[in-house]
Amino acid sequence: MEYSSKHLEDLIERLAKLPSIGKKTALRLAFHLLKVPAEEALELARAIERVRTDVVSCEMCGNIAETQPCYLCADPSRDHAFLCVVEQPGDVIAIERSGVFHGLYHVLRGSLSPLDGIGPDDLRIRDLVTRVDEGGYREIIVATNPTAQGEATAHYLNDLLRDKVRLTRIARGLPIGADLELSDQITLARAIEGRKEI
Amino acid sequence: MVLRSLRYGETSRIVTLFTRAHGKVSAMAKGARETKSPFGSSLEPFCVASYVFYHRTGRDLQFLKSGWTEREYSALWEDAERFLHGAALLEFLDRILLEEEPVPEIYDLAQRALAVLTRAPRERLRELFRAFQLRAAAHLGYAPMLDRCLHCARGLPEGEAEMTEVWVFRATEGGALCPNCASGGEGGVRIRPRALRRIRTMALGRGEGFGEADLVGDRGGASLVRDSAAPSPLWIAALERIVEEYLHFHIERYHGLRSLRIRMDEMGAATA
Ligand SMILES: [Zn+2]
Ligand SMILES: [Zn+2]
Repeated sequence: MEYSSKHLEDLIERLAKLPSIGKKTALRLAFHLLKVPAEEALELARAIERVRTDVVSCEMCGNIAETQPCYLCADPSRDHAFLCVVEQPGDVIAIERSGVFHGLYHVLRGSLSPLDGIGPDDLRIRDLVTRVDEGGYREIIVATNPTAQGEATAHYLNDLLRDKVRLTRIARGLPIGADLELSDQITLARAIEGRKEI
Repeated sequence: MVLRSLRYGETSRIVTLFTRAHGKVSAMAKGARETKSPFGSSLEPFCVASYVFYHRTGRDLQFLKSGWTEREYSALWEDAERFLHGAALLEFLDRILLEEEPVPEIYDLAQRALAVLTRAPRERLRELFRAFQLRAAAHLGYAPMLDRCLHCARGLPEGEAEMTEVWVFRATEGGALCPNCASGGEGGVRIRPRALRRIRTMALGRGEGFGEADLVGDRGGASLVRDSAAPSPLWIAALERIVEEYLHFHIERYHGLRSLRIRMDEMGAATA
């Protein structure tokens, strides 16, 4: 055994599996958790448990939610004529922060990425088509990332839906290659306001 | 050009580049996902770009300083089938190239192939992609023998026999066998000499190119790039089987391509 405790070794290995955490960081975190008051460490364990048991995916929009449907889908004050399609839950947060969009969302949970083996069937595209068929939306705003995958996804959705509804794409104010999630509020707001037909 | 890119940490990417001078290079691109990234669009698939990186021999991961896009084959994003084949091209290169071994012929070939994939008729994309694979393999020293029998060296027949004889392509042996020599062995793809001749043209090209002039189809010299008539499914199936079996057998690190297993049309068909 490399460490004096099997449990400690187990924790370090699990931490090291998290994204952008290496073995060294995992070791530091594990010792930190041993040093802080027990209640603080246990609260972290409970938070992980809660997030995995109580947080669900909204059946309507695919966003992370605690209720079914989520608070955004259930909110009567939002404009139900507009639907904004994004790749990830983080993008919803970014767009909400920009404050210019008051409609509903649809989270694809990814983008077309043949290199990773991700095709249309692996994304929530079928659900989107069903939603559009049932929905009576005035406009679908495609806000996938300004990356090759995001653009390809936008074009794919356009081919699929253009006969059913008006589709727009957020403006090219965002540089190609950037992450929606990481773009500042003003740039993102401008991109949404300056959207165009695909 | 970028073959593969992984998100790393909060704002960075780890990319696998294919460069003309250094071959395949893995590099860390710090801040690549930020709005004010020093890389612009240069780390996106289907962009041909110039890069500045700090190179140290023996280091697995180089440091990328900046990049600027020279050419963007953005038409590949705009059509699902083109996108798929473009991605397959990058995946294929990533599979067959070795780190830091320059192969400028394949680099040039890949650029021309990307350009061809943007404008060829959609019906021809599958054939064109297979032609690209055959030519890239030939540059690595794996060209199948297709103009004569591997055993008795008899040439492909001309005239009527071209359409009546049945030859066999056997990947394990590295090429084609005439009806006599094929009868003893096991396995392989049964194919007419005329189709073999066509695959040979695809594998060799005419001269250096991979372009309009040298991808010749079977109907009166029609170009694969311009001719939009759909090729027969049987021919495509035979071609794909031959290329896949051949590459699997001769290039150990080739394990087929994920990208090509995706069907883009399913969704459209399901909702139509
Ligand atoms: Zn919802
Ligand atoms: Zn023979």
